[in-house]
Parts: sequence; C-alpha cells; structure tokens
Amino acid sequence: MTVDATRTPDSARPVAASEPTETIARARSGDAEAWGELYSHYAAAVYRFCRRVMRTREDAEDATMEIFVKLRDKLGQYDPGRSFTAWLYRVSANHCWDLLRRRRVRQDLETEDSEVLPLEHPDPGQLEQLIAQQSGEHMRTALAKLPERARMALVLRYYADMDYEEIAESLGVRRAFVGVVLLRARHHLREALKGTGAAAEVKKFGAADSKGAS
Amino acid sequence: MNHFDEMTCLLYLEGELASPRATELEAHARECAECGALLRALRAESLLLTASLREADEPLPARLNVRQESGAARWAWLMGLGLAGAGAYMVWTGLIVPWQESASQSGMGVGSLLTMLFFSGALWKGWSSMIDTIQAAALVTLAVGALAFLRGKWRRRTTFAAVLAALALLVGLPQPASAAEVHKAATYALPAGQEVHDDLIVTGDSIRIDGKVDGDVIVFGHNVTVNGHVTGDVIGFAQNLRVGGIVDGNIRGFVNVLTLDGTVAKNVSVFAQTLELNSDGKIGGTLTPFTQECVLDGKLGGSMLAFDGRTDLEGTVGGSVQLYGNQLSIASTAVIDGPIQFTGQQQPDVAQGAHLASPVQFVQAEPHQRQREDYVRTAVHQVLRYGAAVLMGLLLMSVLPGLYLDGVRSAGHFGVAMGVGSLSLISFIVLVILSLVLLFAGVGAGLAIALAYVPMMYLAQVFVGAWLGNIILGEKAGIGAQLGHVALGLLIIHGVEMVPFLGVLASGVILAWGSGAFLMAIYHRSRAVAVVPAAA
Repeated sequence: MTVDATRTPDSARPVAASEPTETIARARSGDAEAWGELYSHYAAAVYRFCRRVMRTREDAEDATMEIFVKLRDKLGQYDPGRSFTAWLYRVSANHCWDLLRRRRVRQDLETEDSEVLPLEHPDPGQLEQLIAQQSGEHMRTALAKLPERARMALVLRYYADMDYEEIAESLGVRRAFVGVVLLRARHHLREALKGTGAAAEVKKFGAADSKGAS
Repeated sequence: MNHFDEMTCLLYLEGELASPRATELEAHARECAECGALLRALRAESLLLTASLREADEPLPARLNVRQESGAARWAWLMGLGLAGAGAYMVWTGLIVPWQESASQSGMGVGSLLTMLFFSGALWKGWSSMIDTIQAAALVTLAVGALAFLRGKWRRRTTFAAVLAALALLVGLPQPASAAEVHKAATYALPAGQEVHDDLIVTGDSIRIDGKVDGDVIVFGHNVTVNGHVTGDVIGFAQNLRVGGIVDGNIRGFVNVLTLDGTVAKNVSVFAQTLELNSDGKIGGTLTPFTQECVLDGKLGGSMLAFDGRTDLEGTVGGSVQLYGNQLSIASTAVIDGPIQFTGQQQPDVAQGAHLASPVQFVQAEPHQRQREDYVRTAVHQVLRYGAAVLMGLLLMSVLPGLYLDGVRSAGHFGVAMGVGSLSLISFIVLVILSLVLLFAGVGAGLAIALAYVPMMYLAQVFVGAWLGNIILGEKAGIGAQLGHVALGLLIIHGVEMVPFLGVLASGVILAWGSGAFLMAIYHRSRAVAVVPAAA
C-alpha cells in the first residue's frame, strides 16, 4: 500500500471514536431520551461543521438546528450497518450546500473565474515555509475568504473526513474532478494565507513579547 | 525522469492514485529531493488543515446548548399556555358573555361619552369573533401540545391512557357552580317582603328590587330600580339606575343616569352621564363621580373627589370637596363643612347665603403652564423608565442570554417581527379590555393581566434598543459590550418617545416590533428544544 500520512483513519473523524450504536438504535425506535443523548453527543461536531462552511455564526446556528430536525426525520433511513458519523456529515453537507447554492448565484460569479485559471507548480521550499508559519486561527481566517465550493470541499475532506466518492456526491461533481477542486482550493488558500499570514506576522512582532512562534 | 506534478502528488497522498502509478511515484520521490519536499509540504498542509478545522475554537452557542433544559419545563410551558387559554375561555363563557348579553338587552345605544366608550368598546360585537379566535388558538395549542407529547411516547400505553383520561376529565368538568342566585329574563322583580339570602345577579330589560337582598346585587339592565334593602354592594351596568331604598354597602357602576333617592351607607363611585343625588338621598361615605353633569341636592357624609363637566352643589357635604372640571355652581342651600378646591376653566359661581367652611380655592387650569410642567414631569418619568428598561436588559442578558440573543436577532427581521407583534397585540388588547371589566368587578385576574403589559413594554424596548445599539456600534459579544449597546439604543428610543405625537407613534411601533421579536425568540427557542425532547 501507499504511504498514507494524511489519510486519517475513520476513528479520527471529529466525534468520539466509537459510535454509540445502542443509543442510535434506541433513537431509531422513537425513544426521545436517546435522541436527546445523540443530540448532546453530536451537536458540537455538527455546529463546528456548519461554522466552517457557512459565512456567519447565525447561519451556522440556524443550519445546525435545521440539520438536526432533518436528521431526526430521516433517522429511519439510516443504515445501521454503516458509519453513523459519515451519514450525519452527509446530511449536514447536503443541507449546507443547498443553503449556500441558493445564495451563491449572484455572490460568486467573479470567484468562479478563478477556478479556471491555470495552476502554477509550487516551490516546495516556499510552501513548506508558508505552512510552518501558520496557526489554526490564520488558517480559519484564510479559509473564510475562499469561494463556497473550495471551502466546502476542504471542510468535507479534512473536517468530515469524507472520501472522494462522498465529496463528489455532496458537491454534485464527477469523482475524477474532486482532486482538482481540492487542489484549486489549496492554491486559493495559500494565496489567502500569504495575505493574512504576513499581516498577522507583522502584527505579532509589533505587539511583541508574549509568544514565540505558534 | 520528469518530476511528478502537484495534482498527482496530492492524489498519491490522499490514497487516490492507482497502484502502478503510486509505486512509480514512491520510487521517484526516494531519488528526487524536490518531489520529496513537495510531498512533505503537501502532507504538512493536510495535517494543518485537519488540525485547524477540527480545533474547538469556540464553545457551542447557548441556543444550541439545550442540555440543561429539562423536558418537564417544555411540557409545563405548553400545558400552561393551554390551561391559560382554557381558563380565559371559562372566564369568558362564565362571566363576560352573560354581561354582554344583558348589556345589549339594555339597549345601551346613546349615553355619555364614557359609557359609550366603555360599552361600545368593551362590548362591541366584533370582540366575540376575536374571542372565538383566541379560543381556537387555545384549543390548537392544547392539541399541538398533546400531539407533540404523544408523538414521542405513542407506544407507552399508560401515557396515552393518562392523556385521554385528562382530556375526558377536562371535557366532563362541570360548569363552574356559582353561589349566587342568577336570573335572566326580560323583566325581573323582587317584590316587597321577599328576601334573597345570597348575592343576586340579574340581567334583564327592566329590573325592580323592592324586597331584601342579603348580599351583593349585580345588575345589567335598561331600567333598574332598587327600592328595597341591599346589605352588600350594588354593582350596576345600566341605562338608568335609580336607588330609592337602602344600600348598606357601596354603589359602583357604569350607567347613563344614576339617581339616588335612598340611602347608601358607604361609598359611591360611578361613571355616568348624569348623577343626581336628590334631596332625600344620602351617602354615608365618599363620592367619586366621573360624569358630565353632577347634581348634589341631598346629603353626602364624606368627601367628594369628582371629575365632572358641570357640578351643582345644592345639598350638604360633610367632608372636603375636590373638583376637576369645567363649571362649578354652589347654590344658596348648600352646606359644605370641608375645604373646597376647584380646578377648572371657569370661575365658580357661588350663590349668596351658601354655608361654606372656607371660600372656594379656585385654580385656573392654564393650558400653557400646565403643559410645561407636564413636559418636565414626562421627562423625569422618561428618565426613570429608561433606567428601568436598562435594568430589564441586564436582567434578561444575565438570566436568559439565549432568549436575549434570539430576541435581538429576531428584531433584525423587522417585517416579520412587526407582523407577529401587531397580531399578538390585537389579541392582547382584547385581554386588556376584559381585564378592565374584571378589574371593575374587583377580580384580581384583571389586575394581573393588565400588569402583564408593563414587562412586555420593557422587553419590547430592550430588544429594539439592543438591535439599534448593534446597528450603530456593530455587533459585539459579552454582557459588558451588549449592555452598552442596549443602553445606547434605549437612550435613542426614549429620546424619540419624548417628541410629541411622533413619540406616541414610535412607542406603538416599538411595542409591536419588540413583542413580535420576543414571541419569535420564544418560538425559536421552543424549536431548539423540539429537536431535543428530553435530554437525560
């Protein structure tokens, strides 16, 4: 097999390693308390997903609620033989993508152009250096500047740990195209990072003393 | 050999590269420093992406964090609402409807401005359809509550049985038994010599009480005559009310013409077009009339506080007289033992020979000066109310932060909030009018409903104020920042409310807007809980 450093194993999806199968089964049979437990268990993960994907905190909160309403209605359709977390993120992704697409029409016309630009081959040394400088906060700020689909793709892949098949289905693109979307998203992100990263560095050194490199 | 491009490197790292090509790349990367470095950089980028995306950088918002809310609270809330609706319904059918019927029977067509206002307002036919709507809303609430409850617990037969039993019990509840004797007829007469050992409630066109009532008399009628003896109070809604007998208690009422020939041991307070205390009439306590014309020929034991168009004093007053009105004339036959204070437009007309303890203190009602004083007073009140509203905001923020945030957010949706608010205010006005009627009959519930208006007013201001503050200062989290925003927004609101005319309009809009936001916030929160019915 290939060396697979980034491909996190299934258990590392951003929710507890083992799924509460027994609670899920009870919730499926209509047990309200079990559903409450499920909500407590997954609310934070779904909210964070929405927060990364949606533009504002309000949208994320609303989306989270709507997703749980959907999850509850669709609980009967969940196949207990498969991963609950994967199913959860699939429903979340579809819901958020619908919301975003509805608004996208006017907003993103200009950003779509950038997706057809040719990609320059990066200089590995410069890339390594750029990555080494970043903190989580820089990354999230930069991510927020990305077009909807690029952001969505990165979140689906690296937050929800979806495979290319699932991403293709959620975004409505061909499977072979998922890699391109992800790579373009990364290029976008690097551009955004060059902006914020530099500015933030200056600020950090200006304010000085408290921390070293993060 | 050629370098591998970035796409291929990424696909390799993601495990998406077909194996012959992957093996090829692995072999190449071992030899080629540049491609090795690119793989390392991409891998680091992936790890950084995963780490920064999954980092728990902010807590779950209060609105989503509903674990602490127990299921019981939700049911209590829904059931409370349903029961309140049912209670309102019972009050309506048990108390208001009979009153309404009798009032329309008594043909209250023309009358003084006040009685007109009260009767045509409170007993307008259209209210009944409004009330139907409220009843329907109450029933729907109950039904929705029950359904939502059953949906989760359908399988539990005991619960199902319990709910059905409760519903059956509710339906089967007997009509509220009344201790009073109730009569409904076109004409009612209690002949002399007969006695009623209870409260007497009578509705009818013509009512005559010549006998004795050992309790209160509550009458609705066109012509009402009380010539007998009533040991309690007389509460009347009538076109003409004549009391020629003896009343040991008070007289209270909304009437067109009240004529007193008999004796009232305690106080008389009345809204009327005309009040006549004839020469044979006696009032033991105080007299508080709100009338167009008030003629006092008989004897008043206590003091008098009156808001009249015209007042004629011809008889005896044992206490002080304080009058607000247009005209006052005191005849030569008058004997007044206390001081007289008259605030009005015209000089009082005092006949020679009138026995006054002291001359009439006349205060000319000067519109201009009063306006300025009023303005200062309003300003002071406005400042006090401002402080109260800010306090309300602080309380809300610290006790129910989720509700507060939802309310402020809902206030941002102006149109919806206005719509919801206006609708709810209309039904609230119905309740207020009902409560006024109840208040007059001395029922505490009336007071409670009327008082509910006050917190609602403040809540509405807080939501609109916070929204306004956020618009001006930008959105910021944290109680400190939010309190500043609320304070600023409220300051603007209270400033605008000081403007004559426009202020009234503005406060109406704010009331509708803010209460709409409040109701929407409640709805949002109930929906949030609906996602999680019962967290253990």
